[in-house]
Amino acid sequence: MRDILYFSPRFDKATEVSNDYFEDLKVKENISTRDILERENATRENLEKKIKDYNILAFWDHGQSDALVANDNQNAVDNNNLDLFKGKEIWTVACLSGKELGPKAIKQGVSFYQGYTDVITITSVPPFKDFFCDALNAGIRERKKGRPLFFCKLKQKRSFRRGINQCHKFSSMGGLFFEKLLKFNFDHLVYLGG
Amino acid sequence: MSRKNKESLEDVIKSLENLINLKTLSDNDPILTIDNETYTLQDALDALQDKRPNKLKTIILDEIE
Repeated sequence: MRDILYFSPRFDKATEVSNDYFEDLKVKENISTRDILERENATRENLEKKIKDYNILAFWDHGQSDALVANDNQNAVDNNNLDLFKGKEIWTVACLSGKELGPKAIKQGVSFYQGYTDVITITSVPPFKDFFCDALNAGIRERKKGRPLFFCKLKQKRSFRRGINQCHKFSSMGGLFFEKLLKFNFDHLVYLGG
Repeated sequence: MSRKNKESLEDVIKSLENLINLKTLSDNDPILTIDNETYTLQDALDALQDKRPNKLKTIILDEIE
């Protein structure tokens, strides 16, 4: 059994940015290509084939309250294939799925779900991009290092607080705007199960 | 965070205007995406200044009110 399967579509403006966030993690953590489904390979079919060999799914971008979306705009994860994730963890950088899909996943035996209960914002504007990317990726980054769940949650919360403070330091240069957006992301972060 | 309530919408707009005035980014560069919507700097500023409700403004107001 392998550790983490990384899933990152790239098919519109939003996924271009979120795929860049994934690329940041991929380079920094030296993630093997065999553990990645990205761009046109990020389909439901490929996910369903591969996930049985993994303990954890890490997912970037485009979520709905009841689904995570694949590269072809089909649902990658929804109520109809949650049984494939029994006993596994799901970590997301995606809108809304913490609202319905996350609780459903836990009810159906997923061991842990990290998501957001509202839309989330991502940005490509330096230096704020680094603060957003660091906070949004923090939990899965720590999990990749083999850290226990409680530690991953703690580190992610710390990364959000640090990012919000760093945005504030650039208050007069747009930082106040980005601070509020990152804070909104943080306010809607949920950890379910675990 | 105890920082909530310290700033007004006008402060946030001013901060964004300052970033625009720095001209470090092209006016047409998308700067952020929220769900399926992509915003340039000017789009974001327009949304915050719009009297009609929109998602970006709602998010900002949620964090300052």
